[in-house]
Amino acid sequence: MPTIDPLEAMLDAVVAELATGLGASANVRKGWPEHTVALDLASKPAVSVSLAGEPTRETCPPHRIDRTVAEDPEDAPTWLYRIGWVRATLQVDLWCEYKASREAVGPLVEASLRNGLPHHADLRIDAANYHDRPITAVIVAGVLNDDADTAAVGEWRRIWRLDAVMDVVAEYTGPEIRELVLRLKTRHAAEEGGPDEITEADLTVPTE
Amino acid sequence: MPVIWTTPEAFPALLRRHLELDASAAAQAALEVATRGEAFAVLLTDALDKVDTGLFRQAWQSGPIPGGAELGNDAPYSDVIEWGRRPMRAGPPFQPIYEWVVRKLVANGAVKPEDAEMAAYAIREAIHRRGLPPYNILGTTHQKMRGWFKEAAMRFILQRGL
Repeated sequence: MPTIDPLEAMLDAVVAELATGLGASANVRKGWPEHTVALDLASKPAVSVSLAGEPTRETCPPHRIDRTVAEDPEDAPTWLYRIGWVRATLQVDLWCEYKASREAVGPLVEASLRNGLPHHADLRIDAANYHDRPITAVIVAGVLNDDADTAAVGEWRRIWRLDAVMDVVAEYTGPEIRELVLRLKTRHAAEEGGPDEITEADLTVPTE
Repeated sequence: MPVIWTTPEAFPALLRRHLELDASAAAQAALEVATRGEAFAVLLTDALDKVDTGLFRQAWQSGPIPGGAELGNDAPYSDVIEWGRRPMRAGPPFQPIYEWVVRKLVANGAVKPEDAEMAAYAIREAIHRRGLPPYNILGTTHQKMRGWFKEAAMRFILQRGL
């Protein structure tokens, strides 16, 4: 499983979800449109998914969430620990040449961003290239970006803002601890004036 | 816990009075939060270091409105900074850029007065080609303000007492 930066994984997952939901209705791309690549709105609408503003990260004490056993039993297993969260604002832009196409594709985008209806109104997906970690994204804003030039320029735009959260994990490959041994030692004299005797008691606690 | 004694006849008027006071306290809290949000938005604008004119920074303003408070930015291109502008979109308008060049670059000697128009065309072309990604300053500030409002509203209501 290729592992990348959690923010990139978050963007990839939203792009994949939108591409599945929209099918051939629109071209879905990751990141803000570049000046070297034309959006080609004449052929079909375009959807871009990009970061808006600076993401925030929080750390937490490592908490084990998964364990992968190696194929060779001699190899050490890999442990997956949650070490924090990342919260980012994602901006989904729908770009259309005509108002009619925006009105046709807009509801499809909205439905893809609420993929759990009727059970929940937010977007819940897994990051395929980040250990399948769950992503939760809530629509916090949505606008039609129309101005006096919209029709003349031929750019009918609709924007959604998502507040997205995903956990940050770290892999650790190491020996598996199967048991914990507590050894109690007591010292006492068996007879008065005689040698001390040492008593040991093992309390072995399995950890799995 | 304080106790209020009332009669069944006086209870509706008492309740109405308390709701009016609560609404007034919430409006005070909203104004405090909007003012705090304005300062935060200016700090974010400075921190992003992407805005090459003080006009956007100075255009943040907050104030009371009926029933609450508002925070906004009335710079002519504030929506572009907030929501972004795609590369190769037609425009942007020439005149505001030319005025900015005269006000800033000509005034500090970076551009000669006779070159102001050419500089403005170059800047306009750069914005047209490169576009501008969304900076989400108002959105980020709004997220902060939601938390601040809860705390401020509780404080004002508790200060008001029964």
